[in-house]
Amino acid sequence: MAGATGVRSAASGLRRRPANAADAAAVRSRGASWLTGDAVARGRWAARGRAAASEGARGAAEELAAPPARVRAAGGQLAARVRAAGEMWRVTGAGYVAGDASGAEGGAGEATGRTGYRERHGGGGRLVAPPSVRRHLGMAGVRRAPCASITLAEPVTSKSYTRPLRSSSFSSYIAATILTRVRVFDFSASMEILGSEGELSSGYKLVPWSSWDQWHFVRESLFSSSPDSVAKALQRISAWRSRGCLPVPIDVTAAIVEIQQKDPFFREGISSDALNSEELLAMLYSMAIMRLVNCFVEPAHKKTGRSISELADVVGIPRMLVDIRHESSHRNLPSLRLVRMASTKALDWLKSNYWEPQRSVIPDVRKEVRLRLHEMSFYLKNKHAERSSSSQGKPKRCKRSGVLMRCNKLSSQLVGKLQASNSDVSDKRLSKITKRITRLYSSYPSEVVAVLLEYFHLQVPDFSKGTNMECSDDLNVDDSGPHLETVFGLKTIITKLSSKTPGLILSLLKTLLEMIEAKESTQSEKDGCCFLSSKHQSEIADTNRLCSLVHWLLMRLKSLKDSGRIGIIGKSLETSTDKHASPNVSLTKLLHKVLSQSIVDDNHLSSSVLLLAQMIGNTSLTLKLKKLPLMATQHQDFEDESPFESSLKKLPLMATQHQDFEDESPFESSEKMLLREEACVKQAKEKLELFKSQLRNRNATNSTKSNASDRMWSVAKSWTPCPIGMVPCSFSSTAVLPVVDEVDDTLDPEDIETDTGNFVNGRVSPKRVSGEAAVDSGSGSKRQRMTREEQELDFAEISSPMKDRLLINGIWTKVSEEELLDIESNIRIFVN
Amino acid sequence: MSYSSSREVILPPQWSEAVITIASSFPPPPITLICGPKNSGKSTFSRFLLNSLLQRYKRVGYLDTDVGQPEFTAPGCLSLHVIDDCLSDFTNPCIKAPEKCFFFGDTSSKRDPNAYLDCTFSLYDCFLKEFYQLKRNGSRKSMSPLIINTPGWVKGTGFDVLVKMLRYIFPTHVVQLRISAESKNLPTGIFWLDQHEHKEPINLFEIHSAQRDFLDRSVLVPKDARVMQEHRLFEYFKQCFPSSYNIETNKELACALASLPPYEVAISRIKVKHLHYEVPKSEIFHSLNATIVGLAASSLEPRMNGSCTPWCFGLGIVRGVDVRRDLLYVITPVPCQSLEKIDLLLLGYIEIPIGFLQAGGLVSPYMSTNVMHKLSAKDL
Repeated sequence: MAGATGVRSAASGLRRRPANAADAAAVRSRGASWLTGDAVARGRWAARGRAAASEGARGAAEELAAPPARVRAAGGQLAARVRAAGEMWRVTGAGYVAGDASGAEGGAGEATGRTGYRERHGGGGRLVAPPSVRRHLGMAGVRRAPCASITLAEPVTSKSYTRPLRSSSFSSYIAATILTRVRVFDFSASMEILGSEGELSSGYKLVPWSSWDQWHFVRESLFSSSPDSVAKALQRISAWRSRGCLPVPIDVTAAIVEIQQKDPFFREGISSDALNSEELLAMLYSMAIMRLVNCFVEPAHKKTGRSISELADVVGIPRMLVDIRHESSHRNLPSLRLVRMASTKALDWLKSNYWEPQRSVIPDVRKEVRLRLHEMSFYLKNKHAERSSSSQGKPKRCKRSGVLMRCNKLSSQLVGKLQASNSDVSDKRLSKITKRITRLYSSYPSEVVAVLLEYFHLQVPDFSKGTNMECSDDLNVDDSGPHLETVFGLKTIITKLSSKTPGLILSLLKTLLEMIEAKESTQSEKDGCCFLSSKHQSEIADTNRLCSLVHWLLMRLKSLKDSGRIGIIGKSLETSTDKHASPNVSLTKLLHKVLSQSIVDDNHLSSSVLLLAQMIGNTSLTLKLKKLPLMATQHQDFEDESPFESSLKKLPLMATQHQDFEDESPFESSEKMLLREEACVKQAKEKLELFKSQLRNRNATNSTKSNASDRMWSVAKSWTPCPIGMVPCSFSSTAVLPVVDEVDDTLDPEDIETDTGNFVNGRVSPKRVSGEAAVDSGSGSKRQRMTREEQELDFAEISSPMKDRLLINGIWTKVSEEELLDIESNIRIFVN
Repeated sequence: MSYSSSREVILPPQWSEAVITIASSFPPPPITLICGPKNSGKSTFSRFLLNSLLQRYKRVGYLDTDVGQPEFTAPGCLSLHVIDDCLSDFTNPCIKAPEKCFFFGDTSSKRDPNAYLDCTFSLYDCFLKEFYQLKRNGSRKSMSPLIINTPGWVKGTGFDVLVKMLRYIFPTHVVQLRISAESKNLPTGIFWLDQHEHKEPINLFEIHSAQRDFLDRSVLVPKDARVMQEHRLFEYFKQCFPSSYNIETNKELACALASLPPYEVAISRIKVKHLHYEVPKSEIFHSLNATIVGLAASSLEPRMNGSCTPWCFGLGIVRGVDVRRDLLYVITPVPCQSLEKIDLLLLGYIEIPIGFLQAGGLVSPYMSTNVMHKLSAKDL
């Protein structure tokens, strides 16, 4: 049976990683002694077990990497054993297991879920509870039930539990036993979660952070050597504390760290907030240590009635801390030197009992997504190869290294098998993987998007923080990138995925546009000095590729829209929060967003703009946009002319007139040309004046109106359902995490320049940070106009990106302000 | 006695005697304080008293000082109500708009007993001024009786707080509910005054908790405070929607809340204050996003003693923060016209029910899996 070999490979996989096995053994032996039936032990234990279990399962899975069939078999075998063992434990521990088991749900799901293996597995042999466990069971007064009916594939005696498990032949067994434990806790939930949710289980808890990245930030800063970052971490924890759901270990850690920051002994140099009274410091330390011991031990103490020191011993709290608790509450205050030392011990204990275990159980979504994508591309390749093999003969394979070499071999075997047997199998697998990624996307959209774009060989600046999760992970699948190196491959994958979850396209678009924006703003900061450097060039190329992907995504969006998978905001009035409801997009807002990109002269972006306009279906808008100078493609032939002249030509108004001139005499003298252009400028000026007066009138009426209706509280004009704590994306129905950190208010010199040219709104916003902000403030101050027909673009919103472009794009720099105003006014008149 | 109750209600004789005595006491209209340990039936008794007083009076004042489980408002609020309609449902809390309200921001007075007392006294003064005065111009008396419900925390600081409250308010009637576990009861007699301080007779009723022979059993099973609080918040935020929405479950409410277009308000025009904790200024939005806040107007402070917060107009959920656009998104049932005055958000420790944060596919980022959360403060 395939399963048996699978287990062997899993075992050998683990053998190659002795560190992991030893780890697991340590966890196991420790975990066993914790089986006291109290909440503390259970919680700690489940988490530990799970960490090790997932390591084990992952180890097995990833050593094999490519051929998922095998991985599945191996995992399935493991799962079966775990389940069988779990049943046994259920019987044995039935008396005390019922309780809080939510912590363990994830664990069992994690280890076994990915296999999708549901059948119970029988075999020979029998699993007996380890003596330590038995002892504890006895203490808890639980009757042991017979367990003969439950069997395991491999016979195991109780002896193997007692001896330290260094031998790697037991490694797979260890993984199984640990999973066993996890399963025990899972039982009381009496829910079948095996294979249902997979590695990323449900069982939501309220936390004060909005993403694990924040948690990582705090963990890293809190233990850093720089007082500034420690202070930052403490501030963040303080914000968390105010939310009222701060986990106690974080609370206690923060308390101890904060005291240490006040202790001159730990702070080098003189700091203003140092506390010099030894008495006070000793009291603070004692209090923190007392809280630590009590927080971890008290609940169990109340339940079981066992002594504090005994229980502390069980969870591994150093005796020194327990003694300090006792001394400071019942006797003299311990000496500062002692409590100082104890505070360091306490931090170490917290690190190894909260921060590290928690870190290891945080779902690494990116890794999971990478693995799935990798699988997916593998199958897609196979399909491709199959097709090409009929014409070419043999499938091509690119060179891979390390782990991938191995999986390559396996994959070639697989390919052979697949081709020989049935291509339907791969289709099935493919749809399964697609489903899995879809599910991942529904709970972790930003991660999935980030990984997808990673494969586009791009850095995603906003998500770079998340990568530190993997740095200590030896099982990185980062190098699976080459599988997806072709843009074609990526596009196929996106197409496949987006037909399942159309929202993915919108999330991708949003992230991409933000990336382009970010790139552009960093570039404009650098000014034009390093214009021709190779770095600059490569960055331009990068942006270019991003823009091309935007265009492609828009085409995909169009096809999804046409097939009704993506709705249009405003057209459908349903505000369903159903998971399966099709996402909505506001094309007009998306158009704003694209137009607000400062590099609209990019070919791809301009064609994107046109595509969007076509999708909106407003032909006049399309025509107008075509005439806009944004569509640089049409004007490339003016390159040799003076910047000003070409700018005039680009003005639609001028352009038409120009056309006329050219019609009557194609070969006119430059003098004549200049004259005409002068006339044009004159005309433009007149129009500008007219326009200005109109604008003034309008502003006057507006201001009287807005004063009357200048309400502080107003209901949001447009809203798409999104969970509490998030805000809707600016152009679609996908939700985004809000930016809650204060925006840096320092003005960019470039922005001030832009603002001098901004006379349209009459008020200059000091907080013009990005293109989007500019557009938003514009639309905010002119709300009345928003009530106009949805499909009408109003000019202020177009003018802002225009203005940005004029200044950023180099060519226009020599244009005087007056001329600039002329140009702008003309554009506005035209759009109006 | 007859009630417009849909249920068959059996009142212990001791209770009905007390209720009849209080209701018939006149003049002046009785000011009744009800105290006793947790789960002794204080709220039930006050409801009965309220209904019987409404037989005689057009309006009855109800001063609720039980911040954990207020009768007509959301947890964390201290409120003065003026009720003119009999209660029909005795088992479910019904949310009513208060006359005056403070957001205390916690479910127990223990974090700040003085602020708690100040709020209570302010509300009481407010009642005396508005509803317990003989109108000078006409002969028509518009004095209303008052019922004061107290929290069940009657030991330690809780006892001190109760004594201070009794000494300030000086009620005409005090109802002390006693349970069978004597050690948990309040002292007998007029425990809040020294012997020589007795000036005028005080009507004290020491009655026993109704236990099993009264109402249906569900009222008497020890209540899970947390569940009760979440239920009240559920009822409270249900008001954001017309009753035609027919929201029954947490999930339905969560979905409705997720899709409800919230109010937008400029961050720059709003002040944010945490009532019990100092949050660093730079972190305020980390603290604010996806929490329940009290909506107050900084201009409307009660004239009385200093440590009071401004009057509260209701609660809201800060459902999103957009610092870049200078916008806060707030969901609240407070009507639009009252909102205009509001420029202060009061943060407290009223935790948002996790049921609000999971709406089908829409799960709040503050809900996380794989959390080692075993040792929360509640386990202590």
